[in-house]
Amino acid sequence: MPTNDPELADWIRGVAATQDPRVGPNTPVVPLVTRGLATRPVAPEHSQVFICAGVIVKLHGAGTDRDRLTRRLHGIGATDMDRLWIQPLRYAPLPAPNDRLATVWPRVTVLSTIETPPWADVGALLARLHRMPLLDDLPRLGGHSRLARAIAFLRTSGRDDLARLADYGDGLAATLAELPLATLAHGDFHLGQLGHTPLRRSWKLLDVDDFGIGDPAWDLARPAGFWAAGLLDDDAWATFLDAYRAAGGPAVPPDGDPWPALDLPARAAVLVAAVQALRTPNSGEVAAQLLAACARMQTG
Amino acid sequence: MTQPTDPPRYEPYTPQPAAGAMTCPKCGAPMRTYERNGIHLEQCQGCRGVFLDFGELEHLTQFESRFAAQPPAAPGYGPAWGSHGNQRYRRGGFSGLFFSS
Repeated sequence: MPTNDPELADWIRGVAATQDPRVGPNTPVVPLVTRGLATRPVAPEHSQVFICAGVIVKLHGAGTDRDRLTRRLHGIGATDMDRLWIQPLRYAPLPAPNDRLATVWPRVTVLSTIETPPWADVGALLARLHRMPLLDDLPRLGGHSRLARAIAFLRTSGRDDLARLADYGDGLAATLAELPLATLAHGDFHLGQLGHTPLRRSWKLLDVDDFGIGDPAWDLARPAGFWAAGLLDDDAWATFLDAYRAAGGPAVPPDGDPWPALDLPARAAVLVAAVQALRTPNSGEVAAQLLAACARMQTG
Repeated sequence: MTQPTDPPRYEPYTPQPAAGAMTCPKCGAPMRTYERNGIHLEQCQGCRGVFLDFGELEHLTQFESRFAAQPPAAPGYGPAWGSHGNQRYRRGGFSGLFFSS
């Protein structure tokens, strides 16, 4: 499905043509589905990713801070970070139509949603990121902002149970805000954030929007929370966690019960994922399972 | 922080599809064949779109209605708010692990 905004498509072609000589006036501009459905995006103010020949153009969400985004781009371009992150094709955001900011990336192969995810590689990759030396000038990781946005959505729902979940989320956010700024972290890690280039086959990280400094447990929170909510099987979770520990990942103690370090970020991840499922068409059973986990959280 | 000034060299996206492989009708990337529950399907390596042959969607629907997972062997820890030991896993529930929120 090409984008239905011809002026935006032309603008994206113009940006892509500066990198890939194959781009012409009729090259398709294809939106990449990163949430919701292609035909029913969740919200127009969210970020959008477009494929044009061999180039990815990302329009960042409305209200994205230019300075913070630039600092994050510089962060992933720092020494040795190219071994962990897919590098942008330019390190400065571009002003895009409709007051958006755009970044430009090479097209990569992404992880299939069908085959078994490479959980061991993923655990080791995150451990390596968390062990990198701290960089000056990076913002705090973006998980806190995503939690705040999810809570704001719950407040507007008009449902009593969701308003109570919002109150619970406020308490969670306050506690999470006190976690130490300990390491570098991706800030919004999930399986859609992995890609590799045609020549170098190892998985690297995508999506710089929430990259920053904070508690590295945030990056384990989505798999941990999905495991706890019964949406990820024990083998997958154990493979991921064991590989993370074997690679010296600092988010959890090297052995023993990891859950004290993971509990709060995992709760936040489940709450945020529940809100996202509520906003996504046809996610009924998963949404119900995530909301059931949220209900249990509020009582214990 | 040292500022990266030189952008990385553009690396053309030209993965070689396997002989006879399909090309994604939306974005033009090669599609790879997977077998899932005895059903063959093609997924695009660029935009993750899926192509099903005639009848395969019906097979998937039938399979889902017969779905039953193994009871989990809990690893001995986890939160009180978790769902361990009292229900089945939803296979494929981790598709929610692919999206930002």
